Amino acid sequence: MSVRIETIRECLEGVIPGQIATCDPDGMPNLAYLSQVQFIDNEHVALSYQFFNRTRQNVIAGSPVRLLLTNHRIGAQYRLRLEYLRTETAGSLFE
Amino acid sequence: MIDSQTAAFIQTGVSISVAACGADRLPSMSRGMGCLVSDNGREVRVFVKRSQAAELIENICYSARVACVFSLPSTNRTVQLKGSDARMEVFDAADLAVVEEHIALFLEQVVPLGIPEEVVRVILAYTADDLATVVYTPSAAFSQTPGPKAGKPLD
Repeated sequence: MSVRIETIRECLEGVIPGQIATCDPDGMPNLAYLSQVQFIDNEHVALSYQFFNRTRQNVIAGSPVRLLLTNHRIGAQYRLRLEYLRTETAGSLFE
Repeated sequence: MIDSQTAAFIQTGVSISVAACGADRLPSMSRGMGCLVSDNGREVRVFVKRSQAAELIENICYSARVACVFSLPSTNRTVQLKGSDARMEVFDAADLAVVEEHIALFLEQVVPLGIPEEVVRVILAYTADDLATVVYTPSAAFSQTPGPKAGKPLD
């Protein structure tokens, strides 16, 4: 099911930390917590990385990405499937 | 095999998540409802809700590879345990006490952080006949506590 991200925007705030799952080329999963997910528009989010070495390696190697987000007011949980587009290291989005 | 300190840690009021990947490498994940370490630290048993973990269960049956993250909300101490021999077992009603204790300990962790108890109870609501058990031998353990050592193998 496709979801308009703005309808679950509360979940991106990280009050209840989200989780990101990736897969290495051998099929081994990796899980990491996310402090925040940045809303870009209804079809795009941005994730900052600081300590997610394995996650980043897997994404760069072409792993599909899943997020598990939880609404801190009602407890609803959402699983999002993401596709990596690009990394930005400068500019308005980065800042 | 995990040491006694890690075994004790993952059986406290930690947040638990489980992930596995399918043939297309798409990961699936689900919340854990408690954890039990058995066989002197050689075996980890994590309880999941089948109604929320259908894809995860399918992936575990397909690949046997699994990653579980255990994180204590009050300290952010986080451990990831991976294994390559995961299997699904029917939930043993004798483990209901473990699930109930996990919920109680988790509430003690997160309510002081401002998460309403009723919200936590919604997230962890379950029926016994919906539970299933993921069983595996941890073959790799990593610290994921935020900081420069995140991602490093446990000492």
